[in-house]
Amino acid sequence: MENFHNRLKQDPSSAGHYHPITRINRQFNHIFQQMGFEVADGPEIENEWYNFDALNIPADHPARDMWDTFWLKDPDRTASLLRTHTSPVQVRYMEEHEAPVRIIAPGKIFRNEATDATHEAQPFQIEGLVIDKGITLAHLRTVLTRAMKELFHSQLKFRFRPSYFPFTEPSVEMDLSCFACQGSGCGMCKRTGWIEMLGAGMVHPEVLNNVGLDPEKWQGFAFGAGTDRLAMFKYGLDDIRLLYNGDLRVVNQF
Amino acid sequence: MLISYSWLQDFIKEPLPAPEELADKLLMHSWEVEDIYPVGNQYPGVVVGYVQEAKKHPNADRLSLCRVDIGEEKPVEIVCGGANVATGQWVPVATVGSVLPNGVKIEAAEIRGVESRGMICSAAELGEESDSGRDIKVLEGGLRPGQLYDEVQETGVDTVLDVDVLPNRASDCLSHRGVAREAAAVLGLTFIDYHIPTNSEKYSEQLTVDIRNSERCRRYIGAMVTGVKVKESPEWLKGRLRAVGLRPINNIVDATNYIMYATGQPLHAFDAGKFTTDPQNGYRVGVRPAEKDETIITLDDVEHPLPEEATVITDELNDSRPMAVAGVMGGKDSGVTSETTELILEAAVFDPALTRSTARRLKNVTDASKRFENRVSPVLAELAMPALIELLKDIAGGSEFTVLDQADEYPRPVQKAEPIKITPSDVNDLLGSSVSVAEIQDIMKRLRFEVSGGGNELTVRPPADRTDITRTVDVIEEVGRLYGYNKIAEQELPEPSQAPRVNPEFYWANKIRDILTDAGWSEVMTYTLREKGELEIANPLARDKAYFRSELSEGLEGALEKNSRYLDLWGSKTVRVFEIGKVYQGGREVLKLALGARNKNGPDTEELQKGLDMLAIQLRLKIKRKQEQKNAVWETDLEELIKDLPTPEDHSDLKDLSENITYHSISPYPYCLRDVAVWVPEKELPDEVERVIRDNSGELLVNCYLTDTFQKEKSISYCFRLVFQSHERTLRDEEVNEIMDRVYSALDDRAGWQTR
Repeated sequence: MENFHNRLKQDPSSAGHYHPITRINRQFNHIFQQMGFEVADGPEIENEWYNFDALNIPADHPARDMWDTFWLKDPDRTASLLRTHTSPVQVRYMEEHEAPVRIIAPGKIFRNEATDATHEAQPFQIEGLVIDKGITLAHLRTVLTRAMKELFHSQLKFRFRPSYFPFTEPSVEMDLSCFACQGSGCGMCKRTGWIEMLGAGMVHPEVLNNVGLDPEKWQGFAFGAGTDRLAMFKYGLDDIRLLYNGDLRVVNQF
Repeated sequence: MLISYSWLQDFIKEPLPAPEELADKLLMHSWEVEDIYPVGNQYPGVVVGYVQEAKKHPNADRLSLCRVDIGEEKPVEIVCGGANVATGQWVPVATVGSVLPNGVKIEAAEIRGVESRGMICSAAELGEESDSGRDIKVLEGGLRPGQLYDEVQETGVDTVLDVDVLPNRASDCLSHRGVAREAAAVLGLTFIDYHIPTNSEKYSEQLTVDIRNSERCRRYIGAMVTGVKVKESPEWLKGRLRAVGLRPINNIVDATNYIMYATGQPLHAFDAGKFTTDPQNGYRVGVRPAEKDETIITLDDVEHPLPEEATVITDELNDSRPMAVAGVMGGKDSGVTSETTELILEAAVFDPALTRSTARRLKNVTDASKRFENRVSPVLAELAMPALIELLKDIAGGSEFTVLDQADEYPRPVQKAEPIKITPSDVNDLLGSSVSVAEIQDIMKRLRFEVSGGGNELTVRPPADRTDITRTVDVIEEVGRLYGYNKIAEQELPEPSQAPRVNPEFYWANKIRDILTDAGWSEVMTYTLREKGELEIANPLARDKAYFRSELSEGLEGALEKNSRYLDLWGSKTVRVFEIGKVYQGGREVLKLALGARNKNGPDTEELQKGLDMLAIQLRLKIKRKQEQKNAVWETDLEELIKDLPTPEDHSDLKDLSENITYHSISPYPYCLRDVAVWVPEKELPDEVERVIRDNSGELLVNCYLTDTFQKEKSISYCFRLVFQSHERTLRDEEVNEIMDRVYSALDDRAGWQTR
């Protein structure tokens, strides 16, 4: 409670406050910049090619069910949906830049699903992409482990397990040992001792083909992390809807 | 997908490890098991309850209100109509979500104004007696609350694993056989597969299958059986279906469902008696695209207009009449009834994309359509059909049971999978691992891939139903996940070929955030989806979220209005907020910056102007604000604003925001204000007054700030405002007054201090 009082005590006219998402993005940029990553961005209003097809998710494929999509009422070739992930930035960046590539892409995404304390229809995500010669899953492990250790300033344990995303293969899920119980099992981690933190994998050869890179020559990894989720765990936020209702009683604590 | 542990064991030679251990292994090598729970075979969802208290229902004479311990964290309230229910009884309780043998589904319900969560059962409701009057069934003691009723009755108990099969394995693992094969590979156990009989029997030519378009149906195995008796399924079969969440219907339908859940191959049984036949042609089953304006009444009694992409199964001799929507649902007219004695059985493979869109158009995604859309392999049909016939012979056959004919139309046979070459360096170059050729060979064999070749290069061929494996990288993933990703060592990225360039938009957006927060402006992120705008969503979550915003101002004004209600809480005079975000305006997506200020009396244009002047000086830019701009919110195109600003070499002058902050949840209850003014000698600082106030106000004080200072001769009066708020309740005046009394006396106790 001490902290809370002190924050309120500060005259808010003297200092303003950052949004928690800005804090995470800023820190992520700081961590990744040291490893040679640049910041890339892309539009929130996307088309099917960048959001799905180029990422090896063809129309009428069951993999499309993995994303609940907002479709536009008057679609055209350049805009037909609100991006469901930041992965289209991968494709756009690779189209416009020569390899090697090392980027992170923070941004807002849209999911057509009912909102609750842990689900938001317009959360943020941070994408990462490395394309170079001889990049392996071992690099992926090192980069993500370091990023998570620095982000949370804590002695966490990590594990990687199989997952599936159409645009990476192999695909992995990264779990962190539970913040609340340090792995012994509690309500927060559903008694497993682990928290699911992000999805990642080696960029699928089909994605490289789609942007005109030769998969025989180039390979790399990509990841996508839910920024809101990172903020929830880093700051102990109990309801992500609080991030987007403009309430300074929340923002003033940051 | 729900998997029965005992059913899974049927496919594995050695005893399986305990369900939890199995789940852990699958999690690390295959996919997640989301839940594990015990289930009774005959009475799923019925558990033993202990009646802690039974009293009369407040609003109904013949009902009792019972508090029952069913082994959960808290006892449940159940309204019971049993005449004999009493405190201290052990009773069978059907929990919420369970389905009784008579088909009644138990749901949480309000009965005469009281919420009831479950049902205390009578012997009749459990299907044990035909009539048990108004009495509930009372059990002998010595039981445990929450124990499965099946355990008490010794009718069989199983464990269910809710397996979250990953989408790429939905082609071969939406079945007990598939999950068992995977588990055997992961655990190094022996998988027992179906035995496919070599068919040498000669049948009379009674059944013809006519596939009009092989793109839509690459295989159709039909079989005609006669001498079938439709009745209830045996208990073991019903138990397994219930365990995986299916409702037993009759032995024919149950058998098709059972073999589908066993093999992954969707199956259908038509009543052959509903088809037209003639001595010359026998029966003729057709597979063709639906025609324009064609409709069908499905098993659920609904007449559906058929979408153009639908494929139908027809009775060719009756004017090609549709009998089923292929891969989705059977027609009502050809369904099995108690009169049925002859069946036409179907094990077919329909086009994934067309089946998927047909099911979605009909709003009828079924167990069958889900499997087809995931590309089940045509080889499953030849394994499922004999298994189905075998089972029907067992549970629906009498002495007359005969297979009259079988037809296997296979216009597009599966080509034997292309062999894939794989070497340790293929694997290690992508995974950064050090897997040996022997390890690859072992993993491939465990996954039942054919392996040939020697030395450093292997040639592997996946089992025919692993339609997800088509190229080298697919094989590498198989090796990686069975080997275990956590065994791979870490490796640093090589030095980048060039220093990372600065993204001007990211830099300046963040620089502006630093400038504004430094000057007391706070950042909000308001909703993008709004009630109005230029870009409309076709499938919005709600009507007031149907547009992509065309300005930030609307959201910012909402935030200002909302936050101006808390000015007293913070002790500030003005709310000053900004937002940086995307809008859709003038036919394009634009990144915008908006600032807004508001005080107690409304929009605060003066503060806004001060903020803009400050920003202009910091950025060395000219910033104009239209005088008539409404509500003291200013908004601009951020890209336009920064377009002439220089891009720095790096981000080093952006503030470090990596601090760990612990958020404290905000109270939903109103706060309460009190003012206190005190005369003190002029040498006293206000900090000392504040300290005394804080020390004596207790935990409910959330803020305290100086509002007024007034000097007279050698004394000075400090006026403080105190803000009280609870996280648990609305504060009463009296309790705040009590705190204030303590504050007053503490202040007055100080020598030379005098409250006003």
